[in-house]
Amino acid sequence: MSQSHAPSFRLHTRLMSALALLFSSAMMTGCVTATIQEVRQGSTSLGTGESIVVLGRTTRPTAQQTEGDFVSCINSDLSRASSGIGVIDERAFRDATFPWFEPRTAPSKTSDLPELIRQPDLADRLREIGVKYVVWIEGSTERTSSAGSMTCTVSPGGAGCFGFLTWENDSNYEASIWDIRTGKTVGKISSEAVGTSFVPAVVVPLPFIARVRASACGNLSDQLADFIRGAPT
Amino acid sequence: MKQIARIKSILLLSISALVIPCLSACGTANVGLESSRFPEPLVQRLPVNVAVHYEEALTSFVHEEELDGFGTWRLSLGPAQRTMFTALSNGLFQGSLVAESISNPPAGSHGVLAPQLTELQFSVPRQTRNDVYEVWLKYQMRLFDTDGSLVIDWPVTAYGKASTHDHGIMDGSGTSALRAAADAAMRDAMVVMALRFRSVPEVRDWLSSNSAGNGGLEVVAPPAPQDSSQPTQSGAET
Repeated sequence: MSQSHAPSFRLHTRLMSALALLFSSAMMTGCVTATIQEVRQGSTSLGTGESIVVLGRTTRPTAQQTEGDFVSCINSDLSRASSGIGVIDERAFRDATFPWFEPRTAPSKTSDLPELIRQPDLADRLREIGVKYVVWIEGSTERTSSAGSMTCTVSPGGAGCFGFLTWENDSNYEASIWDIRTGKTVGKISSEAVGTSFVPAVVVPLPFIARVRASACGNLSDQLADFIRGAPT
Repeated sequence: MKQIARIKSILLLSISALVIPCLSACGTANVGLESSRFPEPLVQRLPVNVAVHYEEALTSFVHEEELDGFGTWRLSLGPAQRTMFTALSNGLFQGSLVAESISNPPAGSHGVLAPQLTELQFSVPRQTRNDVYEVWLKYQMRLFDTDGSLVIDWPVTAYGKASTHDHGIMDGSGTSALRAAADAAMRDAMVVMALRFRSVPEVRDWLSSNSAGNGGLEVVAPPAPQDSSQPTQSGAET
């Protein structure tokens, strides 16, 4: 009995190995097209004890808001020792300057800054924490199209899926860099990434996921680090 | 025997199919804000000593609501109210005290603040077909003079939202995102109170009468801000 099943078992094992290989390679690859654009309006540099803060734009009445995990991703990338940039944690900055950078009160344009900084306590606090640049991140990742269908069945005899799914995600973010001491915009960087993901399924679904937002985050962080350091582009 | 095993499997699958969705749709989702922290507002302190009276209805505030088809939600905002109003009054008034009752304010206070949380509304993404949890709060900020007379009963409305994207797939029940939305709404209420309280006409009159007539009253200094409110700096310095 066991001998008669041996070839099919080996075939099954090979099939599973091949599928696992396909699955892992699919998870590693993703087809993403990314574009970065930079506009410099002033010189930038950071001295000892000076730092930046990266904030997600949540000013109302905007219906959309920048995803918190995208802002965290930029923060974490810029905080790497290799970037050479001091980064203040977003929540800690909002707490230290409360209530001036909340959704209801945050300045929406640089012309609002001088009046804001005229608050004596706020000006003292900003000096105390050493923040020089505020980087506002605006934008989001949206699913722009999707197609296909997949059916999965579970029964006591086994489970399986059949079908094909595909979707396209579009990330569009813009970082505005404000010099908080001069009250001027020193530059803008925009990052756009488009990627198509697809999942074919014949018994086992194989996801080929395009990591669009991760790509936009990586590109924007690298460009921001170069911009703040004043590196030529 | 095989038939019994097959029936058992089918029964198990059927029970799972009924129970698993019920865990999210029929259960009670508890949202508590016990661990919330609120910063002291960085505003010019009003030159008065105000005692805050915490009513039982405020500190034990619970909102329970059954959403048709989305289960029961229980939001316990009471425990966070004391933390919130302590931070607010420490930052807003030159002296911040606690009053056991409205009619008997502590010595040295110019008035008693007795906040009430009168209304809470919330929405979940499946209701509104977007990806955010939203919370609306309505407070009644009642300010009493030391003789117990009502100076003002000022309504404050606040709003907070939190995106499902920021709370991961493990937050299937949405409690973490709804907690974040409630936390944001309470911060928003603090913003309104910290920035607008002083410009309410009745409050302005009350402030000017207290500044003129009670200039000699001892001012109680608020406690020093805690280190935890300071930002942490990460990354290398240039």
